[in-house]
Amino acid sequence: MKMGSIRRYTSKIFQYEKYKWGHRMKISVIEMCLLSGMLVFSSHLSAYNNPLFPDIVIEEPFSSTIQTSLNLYQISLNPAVFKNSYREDFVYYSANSFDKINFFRRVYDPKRQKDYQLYFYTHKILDKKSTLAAAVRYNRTDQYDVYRSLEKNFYKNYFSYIDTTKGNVKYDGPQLWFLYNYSLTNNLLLGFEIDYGIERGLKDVYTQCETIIRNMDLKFGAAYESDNGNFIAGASARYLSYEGQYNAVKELQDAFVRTYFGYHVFRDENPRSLNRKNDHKEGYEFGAQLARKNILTDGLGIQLSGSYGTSYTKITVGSTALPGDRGYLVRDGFRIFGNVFYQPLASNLMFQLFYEYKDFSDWARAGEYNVVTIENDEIVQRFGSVLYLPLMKKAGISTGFEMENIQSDYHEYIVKFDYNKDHHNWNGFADLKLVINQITNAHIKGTVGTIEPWFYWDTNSIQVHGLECGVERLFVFGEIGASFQMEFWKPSEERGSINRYGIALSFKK
Amino acid sequence: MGAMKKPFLLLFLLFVVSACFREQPTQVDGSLNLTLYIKFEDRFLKSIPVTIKTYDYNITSLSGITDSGGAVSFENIPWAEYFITIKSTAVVASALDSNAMDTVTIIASTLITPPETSIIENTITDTIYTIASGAQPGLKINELYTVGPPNRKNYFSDQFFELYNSSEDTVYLDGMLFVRIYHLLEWPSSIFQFPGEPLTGREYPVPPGAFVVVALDAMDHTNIPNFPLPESVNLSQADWEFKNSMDYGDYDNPNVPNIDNIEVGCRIDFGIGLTMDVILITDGSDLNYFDGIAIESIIDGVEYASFSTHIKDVEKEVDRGFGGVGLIKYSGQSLERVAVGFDSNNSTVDFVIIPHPTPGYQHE
Repeated sequence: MKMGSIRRYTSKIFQYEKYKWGHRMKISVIEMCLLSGMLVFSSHLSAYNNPLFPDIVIEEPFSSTIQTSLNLYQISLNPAVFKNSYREDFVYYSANSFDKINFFRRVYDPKRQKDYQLYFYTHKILDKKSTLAAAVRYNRTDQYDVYRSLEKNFYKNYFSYIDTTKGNVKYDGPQLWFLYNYSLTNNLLLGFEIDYGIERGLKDVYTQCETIIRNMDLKFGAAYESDNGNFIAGASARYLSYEGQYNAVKELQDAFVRTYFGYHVFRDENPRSLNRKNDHKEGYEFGAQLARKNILTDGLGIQLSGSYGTSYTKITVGSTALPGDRGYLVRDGFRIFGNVFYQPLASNLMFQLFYEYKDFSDWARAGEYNVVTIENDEIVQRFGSVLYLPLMKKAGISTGFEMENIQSDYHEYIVKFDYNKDHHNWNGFADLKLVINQITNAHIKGTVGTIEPWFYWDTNSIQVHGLECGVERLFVFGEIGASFQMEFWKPSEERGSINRYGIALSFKK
Repeated sequence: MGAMKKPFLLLFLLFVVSACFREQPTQVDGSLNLTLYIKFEDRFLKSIPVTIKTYDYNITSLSGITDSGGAVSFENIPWAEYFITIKSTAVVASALDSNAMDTVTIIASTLITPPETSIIENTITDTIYTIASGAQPGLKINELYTVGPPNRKNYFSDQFFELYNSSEDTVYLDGMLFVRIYHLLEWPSSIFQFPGEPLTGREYPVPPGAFVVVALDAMDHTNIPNFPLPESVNLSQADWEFKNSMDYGDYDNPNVPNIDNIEVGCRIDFGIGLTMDVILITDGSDLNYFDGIAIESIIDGVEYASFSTHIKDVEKEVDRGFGGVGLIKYSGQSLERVAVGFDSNNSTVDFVIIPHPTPGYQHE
């Protein structure tokens, strides 16, 4: 689904902020930066799927009365500016589980999906110049009653693979993330980041398709920071690589599969004892960014980031010895993101306004003939704000609102299909943060929104409602947290809904 | 100077990156135009339905009708490989009388792949040559030796037929029929059948390019005791032999498999006219000969007559003409296709008289 900026409705890792009240009226800058770093990591640990222009998630931490604004690393993904968000050693463990029941679904969506995640994160200051961060994550996804699709998400691809049976599919695999930040001089920062993930999937019935996916993301960055730290400017380069292999095999009869070109036309592949689809993707992204804080007054700042990127994907299907070209897809575009924030040190108040403009184009050919079969042009404009108000000594409320406009111009040419629509999405949230006592925090958050989805959802709009609640308790050895989440996506027509439940446990020190 | 290098380095990097990617094609799919001219012999055919189908995508087949110029166009179709099929009736000049017209069934099938044919802009133009139904590659009656060798004793037991597989697939003789037609398909007069199950049997293969000799009597006719016939043929190595199991006096070579009679009450060997007759081979799917022979079951049919004023005995869909004009009884002449397997469904042009039979091989 083209969700635009409604990131909180995607699979995410719950974050917890450390909060101490009673002894202190406000959290220190160090802790603010630490929490920001954790948010950063959670939002971009997505090595299974490294798209061009990864989503910038406006995450709000819960179980805390502190609300931090976006930092430059979250906006730009330049590893050289990571150090600004991190000042202390930190270790974090988390175990999460989500259950999504699709009473309303698209044709090739699973009837139910369960996700399990284990992850470990740490960052450490090695010395005055070096900072190291690393994370390991294990993901498992169980999809039930998947109709024919051999893709993890059929609608994410233009060239998808299906067979003729309904079955269950299990995916699992590890992800590794590593970041190294080095200060060449007092002002010049360098950074290197690598994100690597492998995933394997297996369908339980004929064609018993085995999926093997390898994702890699490399980033290099450099930045200049002023002596007082109020100004920072940087540039970065990113290389992404993706390899997906789908092996459908014979069981009593040869493996019979189909390849989709877009969402309306498919091709019956010759049945074989092994029918393989290969996706090979490479891409590059170049960006520049700058940030200025304490403009005119303490706590007022601005961040700007822009990037240009391009990627290509080559798809082949057929025998392992002589695969046939089935598709070649190119995407290119650019993104600009701006954020104005106000977060004075003397207060817990926080306010930010952000704007994003993203423009990209896709074109694809079907492989054998040099003609364009699919075109898609998209312009995304997103505008939003977040406000955090401390209400009383033991409470605070965080509210936010976001609006998004996606102009889609999609064409299929094999059998003419045109889709031209402006999607207007919005969402809002309110998060009440409470201090139960000196060692225990809690929060409760409600969200509401509307999404105008793409044509394959077969509905004009989807209403989204969500509720989260969590608690955190400080122990001698660290802090343990637990949270529960519910989300309901309901189409405008009365046809069931998508219900999602999640539970998470965490430990940090 | 160092500062100036950086923008150039960035531009170079962008250039290298972009060079790794293919260029966007200028044309979009669904813009292919296909124009086909349909011909039969030298004439463009009008009002002929043409069907094109691609197996590259799950799209329905498209049909069109040729115009007065024999052309049919399909516009704005996807770029793909197309299988063209034509099957229709057409009124064409008679093979026997250029002033008369015949209605014949014409067929054609071919594959068109866009890069392999001439394209001007996004248009493919091609000519499809149709043939008369029955002329497509397959099992053919390639030679008929019926007149007998030079002799004064009316000896003609050395008759044989030679079959040839002109297709690229193995065909199977199981259950096929050899039929002699007296007049039109309604009146078969001699029916013999290969052993095995019709249509599905796989015991008697004929590979592509292979000859099959079917002899009346599979013996060496050149070396009959007290009756030498040096201009006859040695058929002792024939592949098959006609043998009516109810004809106890008929010669039977034990080393040659038999084709037996299936006509109830018939007690004689397969008989065929020396200089005039009609011979068919059918696939054996129609064994009810009482109502005639179903035309759909005919694999090949040949009519021959030694005189040009002969009135045709079989439907023109089976054979538009007749060969053998000029055949002489007891001359040792044979009637063979001008080239091995050549078939335009018109025996007038397909066959030539050769001076001596060539069982199992093509004359030169």
